[in-house]
Amino acid sequence: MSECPRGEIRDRLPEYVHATLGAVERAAIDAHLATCAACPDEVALLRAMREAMTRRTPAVDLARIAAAAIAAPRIATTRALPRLVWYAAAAAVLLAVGALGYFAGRVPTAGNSPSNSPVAVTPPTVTPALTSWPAPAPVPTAAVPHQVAVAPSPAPAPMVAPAARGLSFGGGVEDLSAAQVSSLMKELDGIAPALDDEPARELDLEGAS
Amino acid sequence: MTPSSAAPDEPDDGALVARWQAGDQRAATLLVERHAPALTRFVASLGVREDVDAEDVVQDAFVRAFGSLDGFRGESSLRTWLCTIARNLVRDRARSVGLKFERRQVEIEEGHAVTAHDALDGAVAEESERRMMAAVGSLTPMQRQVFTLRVADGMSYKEIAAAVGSTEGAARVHYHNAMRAIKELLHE
Repeated sequence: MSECPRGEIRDRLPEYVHATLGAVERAAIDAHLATCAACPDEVALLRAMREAMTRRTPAVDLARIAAAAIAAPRIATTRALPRLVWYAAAAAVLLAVGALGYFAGRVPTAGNSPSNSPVAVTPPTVTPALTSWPAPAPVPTAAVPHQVAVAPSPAPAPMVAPAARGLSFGGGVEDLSAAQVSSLMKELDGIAPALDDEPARELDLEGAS
Repeated sequence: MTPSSAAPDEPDDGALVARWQAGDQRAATLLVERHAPALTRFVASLGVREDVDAEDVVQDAFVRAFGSLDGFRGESSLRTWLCTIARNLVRDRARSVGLKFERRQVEIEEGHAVTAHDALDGAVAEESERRMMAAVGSLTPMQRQVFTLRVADGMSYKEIAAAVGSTEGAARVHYHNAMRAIKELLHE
């Protein structure tokens, strides 16, 4: 059997036999086969070899192999672990940002002042009106099973303490208008009995009030 | 994922892998049926001796592959990946039992062959096939592996290089040397 000098054509004959060539390349090889004295024989040999090797493939039990493959224990990959770690880290960051936003949103003076300094509210600056708030209604203990007893003290002090402890981007109570102070009083009225640092507690209290 | 060996009207490997990962066991069976014959040919072309059961190697390759499909990045075809796993398995087994890769002609037992063709007109074809398989068996191990993957399974040089642990250029040279040797053997 002679050998065609067109090596780039012979190189692609297996793909031609398997019909995996694109239309343009296949047409080019078809045109070559029409004129070449050697390549048609090589194509015929390739087809015969392919058929023989396929037919002579040792028989295997496909059902047994499939069953074993399906039952294969999953192996933790080195790629999956870092991805999970990244997901966990991202979730932690989102939770932290969310919690921060929640606390910031709970501070009634937020956004009322361009100052970034924490609220500096001290009892002497509280207006007399704040000291005359009505006593808050008691909260059922079932709603707050982990409630910590609040030390007896004048009502206004614990009411403003969380704002002073937490992050805030607003000014002091003295910066509020009368209407804002009134709104603040109404809002704080429901949570004053059990002021706490835990958001869950506040949520419970809101539900109970 | 690179193109698979799927027929045009069949789901490709990527789709089947996704279905398997979603719990579709039928998808796993389809993947085995699609790739096991080629993988068996490749394992046989490695020249393993009878001490190493080709079917066990094929099964173990699938078990390993399915066990770590979550980590399969699809940078090569699934078939190439399976071939790589199988080659490593054969190498490890050969080392563990002190075997060496068979360098002489591989005789495939008659009972292992798929003999579905008609026996009446098979006499000539049988002799022709026997000579062709003998020619393939006379190749060097690397030539035999490359020739099998290229001719029987139509894999690209790039895929073959990944499967046999070589380069595209070397795979091309091995293929053409193998083709030349087979032509000479068949026309002696």
